[in-house]
Amino acid sequence: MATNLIRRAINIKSRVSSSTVYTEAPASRMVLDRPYASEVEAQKVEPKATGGSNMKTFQIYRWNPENPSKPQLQDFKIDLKECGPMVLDALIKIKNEMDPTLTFRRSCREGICGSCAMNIDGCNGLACLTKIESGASETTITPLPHMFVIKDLVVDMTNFYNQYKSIEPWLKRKNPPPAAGKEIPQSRKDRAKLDGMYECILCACCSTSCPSYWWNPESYLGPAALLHANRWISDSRDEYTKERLDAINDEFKLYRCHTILNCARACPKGLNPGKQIQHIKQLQLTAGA
Amino acid sequence: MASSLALKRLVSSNILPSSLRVLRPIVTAPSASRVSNTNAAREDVFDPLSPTRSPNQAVNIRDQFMQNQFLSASRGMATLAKGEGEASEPKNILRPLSPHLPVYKPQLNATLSITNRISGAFLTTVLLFSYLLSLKMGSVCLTYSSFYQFFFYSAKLFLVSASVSALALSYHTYYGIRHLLMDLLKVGVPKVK
Repeated sequence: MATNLIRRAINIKSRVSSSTVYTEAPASRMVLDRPYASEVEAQKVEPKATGGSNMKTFQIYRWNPENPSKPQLQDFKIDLKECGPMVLDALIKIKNEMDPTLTFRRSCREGICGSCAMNIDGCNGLACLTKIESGASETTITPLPHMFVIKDLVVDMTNFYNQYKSIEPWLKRKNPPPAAGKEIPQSRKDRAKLDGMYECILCACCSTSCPSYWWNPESYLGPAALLHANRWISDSRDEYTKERLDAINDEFKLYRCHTILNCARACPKGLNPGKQIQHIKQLQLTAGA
Repeated sequence: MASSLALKRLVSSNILPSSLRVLRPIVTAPSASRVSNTNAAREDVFDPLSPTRSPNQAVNIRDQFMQNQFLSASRGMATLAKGEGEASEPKNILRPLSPHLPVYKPQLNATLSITNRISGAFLTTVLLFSYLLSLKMGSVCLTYSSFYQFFFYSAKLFLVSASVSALALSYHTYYGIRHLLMDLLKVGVPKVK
């Protein structure tokens, strides 16, 4: 503000001291043949794309339960030069600057919490880990497929969490640990069997990418729950292996998997639930259940 | 303060089961709508009849339960708790299903898998239809001329359907062999990204 005053003072002074060709004009009037730009011109911001801006259109699925009508895809234009690289940055920018009613889940912004799972350009993924495609094509963002939408990009995950609960994802033992009061020892080889399963963050990208889960969401457990089931089945410290295998040895819970393998393609952490499900099926054969 | 606590303890221990029994019909009434998945789940978590909880805890849980009921109820029923619809019955909004087939990008694995299913269905149809055609046609067409006419006009169809079903059979067989190899020998399992 002080600099503006000084600038105004300098303008008036310079105009007064320059030749009398110029008519005496107040500082606020915009005269185009003025030697120095007025502060009004200086403050003007060009809204259109000038040289050096990269506009990208995002088509985002919108549905409001307060005005329930058909869900729509709404267009938003973002300048990629003023936005972070990830889709989540774009969503936050839209929410901050253009439409505060845009609703989505997010938390850690680094791909470890699994909140921002959504369908970006046809593939499931985490918004905080998916880079914005730098091209002129439009990016379509919809919620996780075949789930009930609560609002905009937020879906109802209750069924998914209940299925996870139903496999009893905790250590179950019949005997007390070999050294009482101490941890149950596990060899490195046995611990290595859990690699590729314990990293699951329950983002639901895999389950909602499986067409078999789309058609039977309540009876088929889905790749995420089955991956965790395998994690507990393969854990050497857990003693209820046979019971766990029997619990899921069901026409619908396990065998709706037809190795479509969309899950492995969708997992943002690089896990392969399809492989784990194949492992369970093999165990079912050999366990003679 | 102490007397009110004592009163609450008395009230809770007596009324706790019945109040939840009262709440439960309200909860399950809109179960026709898809909202009450959440309500059903919450009932499992809070088991008020377990004797291990102290009555004070039970009161807290009951209050939370009631609050949660309204919260979850207002998710599916528009703005019930916001003070608008005091006397009106809750509007049951059916939530939309997020798009799946129209939106999801076709993947190689998924396409191969669904083609396998389609080819299997096609081959089954061809099998059954050829049985019907060759063995039952005689008893359907009552005159020789209509029988002859049928076969005359569908002659070209046989060639086409034979080649298409040969394609389907070969694809189905190759997919079956790939499946066996993947399951037994772990050969050719697609790489994850």
